[in-house]
Formats: sequence, structure tokens, C-alpha cells
Amino acid sequence: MDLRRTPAEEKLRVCKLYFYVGFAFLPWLWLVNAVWFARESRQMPELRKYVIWSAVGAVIYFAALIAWAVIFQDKRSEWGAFGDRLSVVIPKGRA
Amino acid sequence: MATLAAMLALVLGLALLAVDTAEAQPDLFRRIYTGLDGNQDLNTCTRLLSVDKVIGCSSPEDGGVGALFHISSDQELDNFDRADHHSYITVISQDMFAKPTTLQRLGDYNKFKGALVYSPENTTASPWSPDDTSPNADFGLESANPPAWNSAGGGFGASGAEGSHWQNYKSRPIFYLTPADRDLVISRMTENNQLSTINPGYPLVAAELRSFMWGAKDAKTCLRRKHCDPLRSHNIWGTMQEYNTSQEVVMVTAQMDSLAFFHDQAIGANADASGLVALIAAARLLGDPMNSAIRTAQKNIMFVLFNGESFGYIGSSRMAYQMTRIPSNFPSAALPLTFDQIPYLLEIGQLLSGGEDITAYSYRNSARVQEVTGFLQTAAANLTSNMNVDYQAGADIPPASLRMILHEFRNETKREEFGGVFITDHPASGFTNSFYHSRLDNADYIDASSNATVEKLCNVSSVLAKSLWSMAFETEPPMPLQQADCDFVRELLYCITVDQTCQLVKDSVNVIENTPSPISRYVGVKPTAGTLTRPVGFFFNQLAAAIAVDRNVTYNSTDGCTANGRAPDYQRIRWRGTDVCYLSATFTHLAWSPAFDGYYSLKPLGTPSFDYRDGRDPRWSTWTESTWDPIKGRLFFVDAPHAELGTVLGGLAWFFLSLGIVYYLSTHITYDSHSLLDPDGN
Repeated sequence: MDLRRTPAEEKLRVCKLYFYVGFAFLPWLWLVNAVWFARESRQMPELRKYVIWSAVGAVIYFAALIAWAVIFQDKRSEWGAFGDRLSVVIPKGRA
Repeated sequence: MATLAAMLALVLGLALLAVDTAEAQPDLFRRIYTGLDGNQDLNTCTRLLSVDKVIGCSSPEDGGVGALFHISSDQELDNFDRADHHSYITVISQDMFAKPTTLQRLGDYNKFKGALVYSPENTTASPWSPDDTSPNADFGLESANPPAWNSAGGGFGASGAEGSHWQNYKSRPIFYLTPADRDLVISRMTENNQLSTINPGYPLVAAELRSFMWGAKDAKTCLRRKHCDPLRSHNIWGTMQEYNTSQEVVMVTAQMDSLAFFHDQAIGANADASGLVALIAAARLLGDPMNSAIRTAQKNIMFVLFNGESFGYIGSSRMAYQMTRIPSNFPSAALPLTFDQIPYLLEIGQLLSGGEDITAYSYRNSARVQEVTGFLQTAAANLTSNMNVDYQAGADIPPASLRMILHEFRNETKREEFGGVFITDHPASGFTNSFYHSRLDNADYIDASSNATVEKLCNVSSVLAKSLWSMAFETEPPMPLQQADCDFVRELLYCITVDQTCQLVKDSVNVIENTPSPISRYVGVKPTAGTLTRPVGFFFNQLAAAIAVDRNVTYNSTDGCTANGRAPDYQRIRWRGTDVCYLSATFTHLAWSPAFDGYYSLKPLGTPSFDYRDGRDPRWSTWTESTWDPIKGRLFFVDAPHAELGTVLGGLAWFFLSLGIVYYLSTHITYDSHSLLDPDGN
């Protein structure tokens, strides 16, 4: 999509679509949405809230994901059987 | 154009693969590496886990690699500090290895990546035992202050503790060098000046040791992850008369297994092969046709060989648990045996490292204990010239299956009244065996072929048989044959401790070894109920033959030995290569700790699922053996780090140069339309 040649309504439609579809656990889509329409949103105020909330969603999602990854790696062996059940690959030779 | 690049990449990739796999380039591989014998025998320290302990060794997943460094003296250990290479596998003499400080000090170095242990030729090792000072103190009967029976032992508290030989050597593989491997390693190091110089020039002789263990943390965790298996094998038991519930039974037991720091070196010539041989020889003497009166005696005699005793009395805990359960179900629910039926129990421990005398230990000085020791003393006085039976009642019982049996009673009065006696070679001050549960408790140590050793064992067998004879009868008739067969004792001891390719073994089990070697009797993790390990099969046949009620049952080519025709409570055993079957009341009994009861019963055998339950008796064994990746040890040469870096950089330079040339050619040469490489002519 060449943004220079795309009509405003089409931009709005795509930006909205990306924003809503992002709720289906697709933070990467939110990130793309926010970056892609970042410059446009300065000229199109109606785009702005979708871009901002896409960015906020992506940040929250990634923050949560990283936090979970850190906690999981750190606590997996402490959680015992529960930790093993959550694991796809159980490391050999380590607690 | 793209086609050319792809072909180049393919060729390069294939070339790399070919160098990487041994199969593709066997010659190159053989020129680089020399395998250690450990490839065939598992002469490595492996990892074992219980619910609260981890012991043994593991290499990192990709193996421990380092240049060889020789340590056979304190001076050489000090020199290790000045060794300049970045990683080392130390080659340690037995006596330096036996000092706990050696591995402690080495453990502080990051450059210490593993060890090869050897016994120097023609030397006598100093006392050493990898087991605890009070072996198996965590299991069976509890002692307020477990005596230090094993003064040569770890000496740093309970097994698995930091600094004991059975600690958890994380990421530090430790292998044993057989004499052939020792000579190879030492000669290579000598040729390369690595024995005489701390930092000789590169290249250095190096080793790669792989013994990666899957199990981690504790037994509960590794069982859940299926990274370990409970120790498990078979007990063997047999009776003189067909077993029935109304007859009293005299039980006589010995331990079948042994253990060692290195997996396949569990030779245990004194602990506990000596007691095992004495029991089988005594069974043979009583089973002799001349002594057939024993088969009509008032009391039955039951011989039991327990397995897994070295790791928390596994075999005896299982049998005693089944016998004390309500309803009890050993040997079967239909014909249960209980301890109320057993007036006397005699256990035989290690016999050969003391003098002539043996010591009898019991829990209390009960009337029945006095009777047992009385029989032993009378028999010893009548049959031998110089053997005394000393007597230790009420003191602590040394490590013995009896400790687990007494524990299972769960009733102090019953314990105190029980006629259980453990006989062994050492006084209450401690073991006389300097190498308890190590590979050095071997044929040389007990002098297995000497007349003195054979005579002592033979005497104990005779005394044992005569005592059992006295116990079995209410009014004792004369015993026609009173001397155990010393030739048989000699042969059996030789087969177990020196050469398992001997005729006696060949007659009963399939022998795969080509060269003489002792029978290693580590209990193992036999997962299925159907078949016996070869050592167990061998001892089963020996006991079955010893007490066979009929030694001349015709072998039937269609039905083999299993045909019916006699009481179902007898087994028929066919000797390999002969057409004769023995009819014998000898059976196997699965030996695994009651702590793992649910582990096998919930699912069909062979598909274990985790079920070690908290709240099980903490005095039961929970030892498991870690699963491991293939075990390998090999020698090669390492070059100086800067030379290695040069090789890698040179290779990279060559690679980019090639890319450059190809790129140059591709941009400066035009193809004609008939080019094979570019049929489109673009």
C-alpha cells in the first residue's frame, strides 16, 4: 500500500481493521499499525487514537510477554510438576 | 547465476558434513581420535538420585574436554596451578584420588574439566571407600548415633555431602582407566613430555569424556520427567522342602549386589561376594543327597539372596514389606509367609578381611538369639580348629538386611524377641575391609585363589550348614556329610571375582565376554519382570542346583524343562548344553523399594509414570539411576589456542576469497545461450 496514493478513508479503514484484529493476541500487528501510520496520524487526527492505542497495546503486550518469559525461566524448576507441565521441552541434566 | 551459487553452497556443505561424521571419513576420524576402552564397559562414575540426594558424576552435554595433566603426588597437584592451557582433564593416581582434598582443590579451578583415575602397576593402594562412614544409615532401623563402621569411607557426613566421594560432581566427568588404557595414556603423555613438564610445547595430548546424565534435582523430579528409573532387580529364594504355611521356616540370607564409584566395577569380592559364596556352598552341603534327612525336618529352610541392598536395602524392604502387610502376600496371597513363622533368621555378611573369627550381631539378647549363637558356637567348635564366634547382642547391628527387616516389624516387642542374627568378619569397632564398596575390594585384596581364603569360606559354609541342620530339627539326627565342598567354593569365588567366562558360568548363562573379568554386581534398573540380569540368572541357577530335589529329570525336546508332572511349586532349570533338568524349589522375587509401589502398579510394566508419594516411609530406599547419553572417552591432540584461532581465521579468509572470486567471475563473464549452467540464456 503506497500511503501517498491511498485515499484517506481507505487509510482509516485499514488502520481501524489492524487495530481491532490486534485484539486477537497479535501485538506485532499493533506494532506494525503504529509504526506504519505514525507519520499519517499527524496529518489525520481521526487516525491518531487508533495509532496511539495500537502502540500502547503493543507495549503492554510485549512487556507482559517479557515479564512472563523472565518469571517462567526463573521459577520453572521451583514450580515442580506445574512447571514441567507448562514446558514444551524439558531440559536434561538441569533442575 | 543463482544455480551456480547454489551448487557451490551444496558442495561446500557436503564437504563439511563429510568431515563431521565418522562414518563418512573413518580414516580421518581414526587418525585424529583414539578410543578409550570405557566405550565397552561403563568405567565411569554415573549419577544416582534419591528424594533428597544427588550423587555421582555427569559431563556437560557436549562432553568434558581438556589437555591431560598428570597428578600422582601432592607436588604435581600444586603444579596444576601453573598449568597454562585453558582446560584440563587430570590423570589421577588412585592414592591421590582417594584423598578427598584432591578433588576439592581441583574443583576450585575452572580449567579442571574432568578426571581419569588409574591404579599404578604393582602398588598397594591405601584404604579407600567411596561409601559413607556409616553406610546405609538413612535406611531401615534407625540408630541414634550411627557408628562409623567404615573408617575408610567419605568421612564428610552423609552420602552426597560436599567433599564426600559420593558428592554430585556437576559437569566433571570422572572415568576409570583400565590397565590397558592406563598404559596407553601414560605412554602418550611420556612421549609428549607431559609427565615431566608442566607446560610442554603444543600440541598436547588431550581427552574428551562424555557421560551426560539426564536426571537432575532429585528422584521426584527426574521420575516425573522420565529422566531416571528406580533401582530394581530380583531377589532369589528357595526352600529345602515344598513351602507350606503350617511349617516353621528357618531363613538364611545374604546380599547379592555390590557397588562401586565406577558403574561397572562393582566387584565387591569381600562385600558381599564372600557371604554369597558361603550361603550357596552351605545350601549345596545341605542339599547333598547324603543329607536328604533335612527334607523331612520339622522346620523348612529358606535361602534368600537379596538384591539392591547396597542402595538402602531394596530387596529386603520389598520382601519384609510384603510379609508384614495385612494380608501378607509373599510368596503368594494364597500361601503367605509371616515373621511369626520364622523362629530363626541368619544373615551372612562380608567374611574375608578379618582373622579366623566371626562376630554375630543381633538387636537384643533374646532367647532365640541365644539359641542361634549357641548353634553357631557349637558347630564352630566341632567342625573347625580355630574359629571363634564372638557375640554382640544389643549393640548396633552393622549395615545389614536385618536392619530393614527389624524396621518393618514396626513393633518393638517383636523386634526384641526376634531370632535374627547377622554374622560377619569384623568386631564392633568397625569394618576390617579397607576398600568397602570400591573397585579395590577385588580378588587381589581377598587373595581369592589362596588356600587360606578358600578354607576360611569353606569353614564358614560348613559351620553355617551344621547350624541350620541343628535349627531345622527338634531332635537332631547325626549329619552324615559335614564338610562343605571346598573345590566348589574355590571355583565359585574364582568365577565371581576373577573370571566370569569360567565353566560354571558358561554352564548356566549366556556368556558374552571374551576376556576374563569379574562379575560386576551393581543392582541396575531392570525395567521388566520377565527376564533376569545375567548375574542374577547365574546365582539363581547356582542356588537352584544346590538345593535341587531331583538332579536328573529328563529333558524333553518338545516341552523342554517346563513340562508339568511334578508339584507346581518346583521349578525346572535346564543347564545349557545338557539334556538334564533340575527340579528345585527356587524362585525369583521382584526387588524394588515399596516407596515406588504406585510407580509400577498404576501402569502396565514398562510404561512408568511418576507416583512417588510423599508420606511414604522415609526409611525406605528412593534411589534411582539417571538415564544417560552414550558414554564415550577418547584421546586426541590439541594445538595452541592461537594456532587454533589461526586455523579458523584462515578458513574464513579462504571462504570469503572464494566468494569474491565467484562474484567477480559472475559479474565479468557473459554466458552464451547454450550454457548448461544457465539454459535460459539470461
